[in-house]
Amino acid sequence: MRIDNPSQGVAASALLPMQPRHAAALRLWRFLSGRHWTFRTGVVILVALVTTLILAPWIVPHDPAVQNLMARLSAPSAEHWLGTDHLGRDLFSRLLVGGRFTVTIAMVTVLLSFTVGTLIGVVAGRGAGGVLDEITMRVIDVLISIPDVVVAIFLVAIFGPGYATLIASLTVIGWTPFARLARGLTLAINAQGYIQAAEVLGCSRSFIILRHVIPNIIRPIAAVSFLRFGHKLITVGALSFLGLGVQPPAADWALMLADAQPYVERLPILMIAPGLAIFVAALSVTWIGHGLEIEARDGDSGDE
Amino acid sequence: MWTRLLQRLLILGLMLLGVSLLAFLVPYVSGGDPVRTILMSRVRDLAVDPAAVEAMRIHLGLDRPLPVQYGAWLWQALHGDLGYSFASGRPVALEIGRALGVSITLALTALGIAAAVAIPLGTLAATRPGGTVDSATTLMVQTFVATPEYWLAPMGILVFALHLGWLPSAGWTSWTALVLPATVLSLRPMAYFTQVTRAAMMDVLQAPYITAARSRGLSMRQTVMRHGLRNGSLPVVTFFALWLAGLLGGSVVIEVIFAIPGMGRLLYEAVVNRDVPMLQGGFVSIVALSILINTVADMLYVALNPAVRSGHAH
Amino acid sequence: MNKTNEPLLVIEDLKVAFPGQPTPVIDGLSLTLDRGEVLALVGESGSGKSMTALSLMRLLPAGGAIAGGRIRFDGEDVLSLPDRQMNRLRGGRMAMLFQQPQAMLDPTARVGTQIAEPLRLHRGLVRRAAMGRVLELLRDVGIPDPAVRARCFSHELSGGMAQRVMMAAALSGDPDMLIADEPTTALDVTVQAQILRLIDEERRKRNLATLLITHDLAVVAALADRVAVMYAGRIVEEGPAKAVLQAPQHPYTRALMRCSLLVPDPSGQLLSIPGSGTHARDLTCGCRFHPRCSAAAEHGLAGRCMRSEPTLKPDPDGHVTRCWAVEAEKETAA
Repeated sequence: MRIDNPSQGVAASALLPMQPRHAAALRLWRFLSGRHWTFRTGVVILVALVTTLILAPWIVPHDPAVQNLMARLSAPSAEHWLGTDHLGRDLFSRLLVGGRFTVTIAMVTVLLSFTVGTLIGVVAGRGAGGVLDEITMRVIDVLISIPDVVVAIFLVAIFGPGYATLIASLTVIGWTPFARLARGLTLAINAQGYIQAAEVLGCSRSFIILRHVIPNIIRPIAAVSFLRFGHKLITVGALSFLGLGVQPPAADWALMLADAQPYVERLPILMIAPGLAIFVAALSVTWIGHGLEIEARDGDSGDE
Repeated sequence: MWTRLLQRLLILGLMLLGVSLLAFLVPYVSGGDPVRTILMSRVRDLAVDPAAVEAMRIHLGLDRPLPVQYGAWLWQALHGDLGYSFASGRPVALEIGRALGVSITLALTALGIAAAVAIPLGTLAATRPGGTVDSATTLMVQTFVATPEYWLAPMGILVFALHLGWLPSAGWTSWTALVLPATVLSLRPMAYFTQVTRAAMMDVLQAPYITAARSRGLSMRQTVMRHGLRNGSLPVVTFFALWLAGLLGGSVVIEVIFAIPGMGRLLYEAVVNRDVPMLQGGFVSIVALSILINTVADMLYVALNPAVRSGHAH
Repeated sequence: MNKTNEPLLVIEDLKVAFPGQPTPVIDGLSLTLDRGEVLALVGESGSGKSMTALSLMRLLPAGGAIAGGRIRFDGEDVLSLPDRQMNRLRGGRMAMLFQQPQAMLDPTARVGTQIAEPLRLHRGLVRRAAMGRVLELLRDVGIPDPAVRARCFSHELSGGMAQRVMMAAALSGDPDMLIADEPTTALDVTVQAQILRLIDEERRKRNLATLLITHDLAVVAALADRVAVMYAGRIVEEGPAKAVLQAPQHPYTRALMRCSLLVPDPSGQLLSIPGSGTHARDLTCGCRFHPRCSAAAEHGLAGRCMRSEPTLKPDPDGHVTRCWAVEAEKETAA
């Protein structure tokens, strides 16, 4: 790994005014320095975004749900920094809380897909050529081609929108790319000397998988999981946009976009702001993924 | 090769059976009473006459045991009869057929645009890794991947339809109506195609036969055109198919925004109307078609690659 | 344009470097090659033979760059040629054979199409005429049933067949010089002789200047007019093939001779040179071969060999060697 100059870290952390705790700032700085620029930028944006979303209920200037029909569609002002929507609700406040649902669902979905997919992929890859591997691969071949939005629409139509339905329907398809990647990486690892040595020593199957295989394949898979995260953010948004995700009156970026459609000519910011929010969120995780991907590739460049 | 295809067909059949069972059963286990749903969707009234419910139940054959119902449904589905829409009363299969045509047109146009931009761009980026074109391409890919189409589409309507008046804002009447939705829809696949092309071309351009071709006096351009593209575009074929399948129902947001009567909108309206037969039929046919397209793509990949074709692949 | 006195190919003080590597892969290499002549370039893997060949074609792998020196081909400065003219030189006047003939053919293109490329590019033939010529070429290089073979893909050919196809492609532009980079190394022993015979026949027929890169001294003995021995990016010995093979001077060449089965060891043992030449380039001073050299100690020259590097010193008969021990021997003899 990378060796940093500690004194440099202390000096730099003192320059970070946003961080209340010194130790945390130091650790963040250590974590970031020397990484690819897209990774650094992405992490900073994502940390800021998640912090805002968590703190949102306490820092919003107005109650995001309170309507004020007297002040409908008002332009940005000192009172309403970004103006108000068609029901007179404060756009800025709604923007601050509007990512909670989407980001949470996307995050949980990716985490689940990552875990399930990696485990299945590694187990299949360890038993490559066997019946279990064949079946898994064929199932993945088939599942991977099914659009996840369609599965989500179908399940939401029947069970109604909600966290569980959305997460379940996106994970049912979502684990397949992880499994395919994990299997491929495991196959490459199978041939390595240390795995064969562990096999000769009689290490158990699960021990080899947990101690030798997973730690060695986790970086490229982590890179992909951030790329998938961006994809999921947009998919969840699409469902909300269609009215199959978050239900009104809760604030949500995609829902705000949908609501803004009739008024876009009068007040374009109603559409520009939430769209930009989704874009920035998706871009930040994509950048993190890209940075990790480059590191994973340069880390073991002899492997391709 | 053939055993793999057979295996695949077998799994495919089993999966389809599973999906159909899911599509059939889920509305029942979810606790909703389809008859009530139908009647409610028709009369928009919560107080439904119990006698009418009973009559409807018998009329629809819903009084029979579930396995019998499933058998009948599956049998009819296999014969192209997916029942009648609760909402419109028209045959589901007919509606789906019409919507599929629209969606395939839209998807192929979008993917065509995507490939037309992505393949040259990805190739160009691969010839000078780390160069200006490559860096700009990477940034473009990341931007397109992160742009929600349900944001870009209304903005596009605002600019090109409402302000400039160049293109219609919605509908499915002339080819001009196809331009805006297809372009918006093409950006994400364009980004992914570019990435895949770039990676594939980077591999190919390091291959020994590229050096050999250059040693015969081909310029870099000629080498890429004659030997690079064909080898480098093989992975793109698989990708193209995955996206084609994905866009058949996955373009739902675009279809709703632009009022395009395609598969996605059909599903969306089925959800809004709680139109169970339409939902089941649409779901099963999209899944079946996705799987089919993907299988065809795999065979196409084999057909395009002479070494795999005769079983010399590693 | 054509200077009558100058050999077809002249390499002067060529340097090839890769970024990130402290020392050049090829360091001050000079060679000449005349029309109709066969020059064998010999040395162990990693000595820079293939890089020399690729530099002549200006086809070094990504990152590699010619850092100095000059290459003149038929009076033209190869290194300063514009890309367009360089393309015309490649395949048109210089052609190349490679080590792995099957990997050198595009797996998705038919063999005939690839052989036809120089014809269509350099001779401006249309597809039909080119294909007719391709069949003639395939017959020339000894491929039975050319019409069928021309429609094959590379994986449908054996290694020997693929090398014959590469030969046809190389000859199709009617070149003046053929660079053959270990053309038989990857082939079965029985096929090797056939391919060598083919190369020899064709180069006689066409008066081809041939740069034959190999590590097999038996091949050198059979085909070459002259030999240059490379070690760690430098030429250590060069001269007429007969002279070098019969009376090798440089300890490295001698060791190579002993390792090859050309001169059987009386005790019947298989010999090898101790150590490896992989890092010899990184030696900061002294002869690059001295860590593996036995002559240095025998002549009591260990200190000199370690401190400074010898230069190429010629014999009256044009046999040059880069070795302190050889110099010392000659001095005492004189």
